Amino acid sequence: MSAAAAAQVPAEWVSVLPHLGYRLPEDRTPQDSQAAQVTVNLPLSLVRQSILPTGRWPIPGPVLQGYRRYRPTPLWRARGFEEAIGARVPVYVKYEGGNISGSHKLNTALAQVHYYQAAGVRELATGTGAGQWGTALAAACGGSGLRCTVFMVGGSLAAKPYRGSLMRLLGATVIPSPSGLTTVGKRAREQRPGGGLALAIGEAIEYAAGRQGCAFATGSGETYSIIHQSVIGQEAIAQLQELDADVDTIIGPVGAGSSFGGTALPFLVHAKTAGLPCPRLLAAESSACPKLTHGVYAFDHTDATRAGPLEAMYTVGSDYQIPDMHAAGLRYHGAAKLISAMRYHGQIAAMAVGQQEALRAGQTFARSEAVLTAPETGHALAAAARLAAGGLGAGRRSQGVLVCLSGQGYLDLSAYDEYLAGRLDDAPPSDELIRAATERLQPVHPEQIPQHAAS
Amino acid sequence: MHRSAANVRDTVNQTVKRAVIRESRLRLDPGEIADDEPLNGGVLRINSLAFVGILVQLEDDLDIIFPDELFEGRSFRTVADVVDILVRASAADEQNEAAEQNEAAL
Repeated sequence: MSAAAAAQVPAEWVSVLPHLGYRLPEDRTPQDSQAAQVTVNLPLSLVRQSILPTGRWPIPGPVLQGYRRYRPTPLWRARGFEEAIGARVPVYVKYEGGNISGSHKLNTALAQVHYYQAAGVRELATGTGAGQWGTALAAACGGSGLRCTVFMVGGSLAAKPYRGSLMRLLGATVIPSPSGLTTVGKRAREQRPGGGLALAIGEAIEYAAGRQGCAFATGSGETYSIIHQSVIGQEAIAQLQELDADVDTIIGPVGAGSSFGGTALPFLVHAKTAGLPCPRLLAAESSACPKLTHGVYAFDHTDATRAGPLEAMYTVGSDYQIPDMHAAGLRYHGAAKLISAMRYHGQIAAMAVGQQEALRAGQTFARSEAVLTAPETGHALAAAARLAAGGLGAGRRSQGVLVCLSGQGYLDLSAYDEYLAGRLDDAPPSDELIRAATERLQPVHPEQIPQHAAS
Repeated sequence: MHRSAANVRDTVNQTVKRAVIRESRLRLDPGEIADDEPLNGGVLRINSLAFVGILVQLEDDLDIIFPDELFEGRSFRTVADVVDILVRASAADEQNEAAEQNEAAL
């Protein structure tokens, strides 16, 4: 591998909000929200980043210091992978798996811990699917003295026990979800065994609400977390320039969309600012949870408690029982509202990939590039392989593809074992199932997306 | 020149009332809202989700940045609860500004 590593760690985060040409739909309050008292559950610093059309946000010193321990992350041309897949265009990769958490999630975990700590919070609770976000938050909390409690999808924890070990090593308390600790968890244990990320998040929200000095922190769906991930794309732009390389397609895996957004959206900002054509931004999602390719654009719940806001998202329905799958980080019913709005406005393309194809791509990458990627990342590699081998399509300049390698796969080897044993299958939901899970949702009509003056 | 405490309170009071009226989609004059009007009651419809957005808007209206620690562990039931904390923040902000100006003058 020939890495471009001389790039600097960016001193600012980049926001795409002022470049969209429209405002994101406002969240809706659940009908039954009658609480007599109002509270501030999110540091205002994060609220500002989510709603203000500010293009650049300075990265606080302590966060930048944390970034410098593992950034800039390597970017290289994956020539071995190109050869293995018969690529007709160069494939560049940006690897985010080299930190203690093993994924890009540490980029927002460090930022969130900084802001919550400044706000006086003493404990953070969260829900995690594959465990990457939980590990990242545990790592960030462990370095700052905050307590950390992680509700991890029970099936995922059982399949990947070392995720739990690592989080506990970093000082977190790890609770399999559904648990007996929360009302929503107890109810789920009675009604629908198995759980899922929305339930784990719901448990964390309920847990945090009942504890003084405790707040809920979320990994990837919120606009601020996508903004924190913009260090990935900013570094990639500089690194590609150092290599005198150009790409016209940016690909990342999408659970909610933070690694994809963090990689791809700085390219959109860069293109808009420089007056250049925008590269194609391609979201690679799981065919078991195909919100961007088969879902509806509607207001849906973000978690199983249904106490949180209804957000405008592409969704397969928060009621949809997503089948068990190994890329648990993609096992979420909706895409982030920022990613969803951009999909609605035609600024983002999407492709659904099955887990067999994803793990096959991961295996090919491991053999050809000597880097073991997470199953989630395999979805982006598979999408890249389809495009790079087949050409980038009519009208594209076919200069090359950049893939965000969102995480490493050493704690996901059980998934590769299943793949090697031929025990994996793909179960994409039928249109009827998605229709049944989404028919009660309020669609986001175009007139509900207010236009604002182009800035 | 610094405003009197009464002036600061009056400005914050009017600004907060305008913001909660706007968020509740009402057509009222700020004077028609009582100081002890519940934020989420029969007249105003402000919940925690909307409240954070209002605070960011108030920062713009009042030309102040509220520190994150201002709100940790607090809950707000009435308009006056919000006004009280923001008056305190405004006063602290003005003091800081004055101190910075004095320092620069030395």
